Amino acid sequence: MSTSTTEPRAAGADDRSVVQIGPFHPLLEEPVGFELTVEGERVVAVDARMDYIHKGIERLAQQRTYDMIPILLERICGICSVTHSVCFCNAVEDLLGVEPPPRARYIRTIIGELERVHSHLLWVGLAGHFIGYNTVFMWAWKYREPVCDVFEMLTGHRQNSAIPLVGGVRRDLRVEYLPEARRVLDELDGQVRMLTEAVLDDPVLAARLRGVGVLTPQQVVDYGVVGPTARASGVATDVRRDDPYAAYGELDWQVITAPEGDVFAKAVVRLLELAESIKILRQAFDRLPGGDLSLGIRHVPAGEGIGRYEAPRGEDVHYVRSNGTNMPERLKVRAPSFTNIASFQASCIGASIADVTITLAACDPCYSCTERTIVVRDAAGGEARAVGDLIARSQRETRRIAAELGRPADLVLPAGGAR
Amino acid sequence: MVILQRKELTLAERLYLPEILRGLSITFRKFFKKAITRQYPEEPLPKDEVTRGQPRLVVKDDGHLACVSCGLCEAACPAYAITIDGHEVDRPIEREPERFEIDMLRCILCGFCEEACPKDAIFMSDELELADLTRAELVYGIDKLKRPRSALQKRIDYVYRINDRWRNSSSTP
Ligand code: SF4
Ligand code: SF4
Repeated sequence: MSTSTTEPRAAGADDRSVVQIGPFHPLLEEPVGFELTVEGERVVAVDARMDYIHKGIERLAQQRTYDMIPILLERICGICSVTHSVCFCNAVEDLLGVEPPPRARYIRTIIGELERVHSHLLWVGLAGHFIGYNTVFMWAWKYREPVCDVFEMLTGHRQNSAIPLVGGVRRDLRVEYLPEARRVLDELDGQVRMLTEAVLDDPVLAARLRGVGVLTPQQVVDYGVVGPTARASGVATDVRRDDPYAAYGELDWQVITAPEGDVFAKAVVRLLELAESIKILRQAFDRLPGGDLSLGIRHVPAGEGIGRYEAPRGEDVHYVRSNGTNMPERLKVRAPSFTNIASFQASCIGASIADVTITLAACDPCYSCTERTIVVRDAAGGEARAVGDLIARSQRETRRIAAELGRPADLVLPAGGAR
Repeated sequence: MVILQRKELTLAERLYLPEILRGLSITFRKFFKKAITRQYPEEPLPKDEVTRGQPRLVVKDDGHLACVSCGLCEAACPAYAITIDGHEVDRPIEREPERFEIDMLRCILCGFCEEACPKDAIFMSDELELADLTRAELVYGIDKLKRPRSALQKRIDYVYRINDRWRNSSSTP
């Protein structure tokens, strides 16, 4: 891969070439293939291929009982483990029309925010690493370590709490450790402030990241971008505020936005969100109510439900359809990275290769969450396939298959048909 | 592209050496600070009864497994990691496992087996290390899973406390 020149070299369409990033590349934590079509240094098209680590979790979940599924869904993503399991619980609770008891809601808030803190620190470190600034990487990951330790103290595991359960939580937190957790938070508060100031003041980071990979608010809306990536473009969207779940509606915190939309703004939004998360955690520790941990759900009737959850990377959506048995008939996971990755069509075209690498990393993409076969193609003469095109294609294919089977072309599967 | 205006350097900064010395003094001071890295595996990880390590079977004080091979843990396991074959015995307990295997490569350390067991026969230990040369070796049988009750006592007490199950210290003798 060629090294940086900030100003793309002008070149004609005839000297196009293709640069492969991935499937295995030092820039990427997970296998994913990006194919950059370049004219000189300027990127004219981005292809993404992301079916290298398809795990078939949705299918597996349809063969597990409702109690087992949150544990399985923790394995969708190595970082957002709480995200997917609580999101599933939200979906089933939506189906049932119930709300978990207060203590359960606070416990979900605590583990969810601890996860956001360690995930954002992880991203700040990785972003530093991607631009070759390993001091940031070392510092951010040093601060992340005690947060993972707190997670283990409270739940028994550094990443996978195994706590969410439909209708509440399975276990209590290890409350004896709350003072210790609070002490770590106090320490972290100062460290995060220091890190934020260091990043904001750093002339190297500003020179490297300002004005790179800009997403305008209009593009954010067009591509359906979510989470910190959208908030860094000034679009204040946050499920925790817009559709409060767990205990967020009762706590005092703010949605962080920044107007610029570049990579620097994304870093700033995440760093400031760290401070907000610490604030939420402190309040949740203070107010942790007593009472039941779970509603003791015994039966899930037929129906369908949708769960939303603000993951560290943006809005996560789970759809559950139940047929009244102890296993869901269908589980559909729409991870936040799915929509964020499509925005590379807007943010990467026209940039130089060196800028594209950090732009790809800037939305904190998680490929194993998103894992499915998608094609985003716009190379010479090729078809442009953003999310809208994929949906159109999916509808076209459904109609074709329906015509082949001689069935009406709506999207309802025949009863007992292929699950 | 962003053009940044550099600050004027002071004379001391332009002299170069004082700044180098200032930088080096930070480096040298770090030599005497406590290292924040853990020298794993020489220095073991901090863990206690809340740590969910690999599941282990309890051997009662009379030398028999507490397990009655009821199969509840097998049914509860979301990873389908447990395989049990039981047989009948003359002791009052009437059944015990002939084969009790946990495929450690499948086990996701969730703790469902511990929660499901009605006889307090399986608990999450604080053992975390898992390495071997073949996959077959990592399917643990009874010989590799059994632990004396005393080795798991802290976890057992913890589970009782947190679940508040029978409100006394333990149900199996
Ligand atoms: S800890 Fe979970 S995955 Fe492992 S054996 Fe027990 S129930 Fe199965
Ligand atoms: S649930 Fe307990 S008693 Fe039953 S088979 Fe499993 S370990 Fe044995």
